[in-house]
Amino acid sequence: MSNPSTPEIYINYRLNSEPEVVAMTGYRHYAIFVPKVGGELPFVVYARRNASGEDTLRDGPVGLPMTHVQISSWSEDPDEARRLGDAVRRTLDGRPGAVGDATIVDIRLVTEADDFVEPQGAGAQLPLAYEVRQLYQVRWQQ
Amino acid sequence: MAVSSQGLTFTFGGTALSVTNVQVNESQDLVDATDLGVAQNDRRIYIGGFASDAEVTIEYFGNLLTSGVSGALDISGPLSYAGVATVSSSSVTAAVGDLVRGSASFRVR
Repeated sequence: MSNPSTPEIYINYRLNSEPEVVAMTGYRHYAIFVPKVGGELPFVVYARRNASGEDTLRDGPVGLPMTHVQISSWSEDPDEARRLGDAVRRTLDGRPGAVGDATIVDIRLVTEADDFVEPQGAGAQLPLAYEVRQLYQVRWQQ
Repeated sequence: MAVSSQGLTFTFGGTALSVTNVQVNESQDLVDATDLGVAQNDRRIYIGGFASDAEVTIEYFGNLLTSGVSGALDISGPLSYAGVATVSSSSVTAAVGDLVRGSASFRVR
C-alpha cells in the first residue's frame, strides 16, 4: 500500500528533519498515541482534531481540505517542554511544502497552551509530565 | 418536492466556473394605476407588463471576472437558466488560511 497524501506524513518528516527537535526527542514523534515501550519523555505526539472541506455545486470537493492538528510536546521538565514546543513551532508554523505525495499549502499555529499531568492511582509511579499543546490549521492538496 | 443543488453547472462565455452559490432574481416594473376613485381603505392597483430585469449572482472559487464583459450565461442541472449576460459587478477575496473566493453579478437579457 502506498503512502497516502496526508498532513501527518509532512509533520513527521519535518520534525524528523529538524536537528533542534531531534536533539530533544531522539525521533520520538508519534501519531495519535504513545507506545508503551520506547515512549519515554520527552516526545511529541500529534493527532487530528477535526477536518473539513470545500465543495462546488458541480464537482463536489475542490481537493484542498483543511484539518486542525494538535501537536503536543511533552517533557518531565517544564523548561524543556517549552523549548521543545518553541522548536516545533519554528519548524512548522508558516512552513508549507511537499514531502513525497503530501503537499501542504498552508500550515499555521492557531492556539497554544501549557498543561501538565500528575499521574494518580495505578500510574502514580510515573513522573509529573509537562505539555505544550499547540493547534495548527493545515490545508493540503488531496 | 425538494431537489438537491448538487450537480449544478454554471458557464459564462464558454468557461465553467467553480460556483458554490447561485442566485437568480427576476423583477418587473409595475405602474401604480390607483386613481382618485379608489374606495377608502381599498388597496392600490398595480399594472405590469413593462420593462423587466433579470439578475444572476454567484459565489465561486477563482479569480476576478472583468466587469462589463458580455457572454452567454448558462445554468443547467437542478436549476436551468440561460441568456446573454453582462458582468455588472465583481469582487475577489484572498484571506489568510482561506481559498481565493470570487463573487459576481450579471444582468441578463
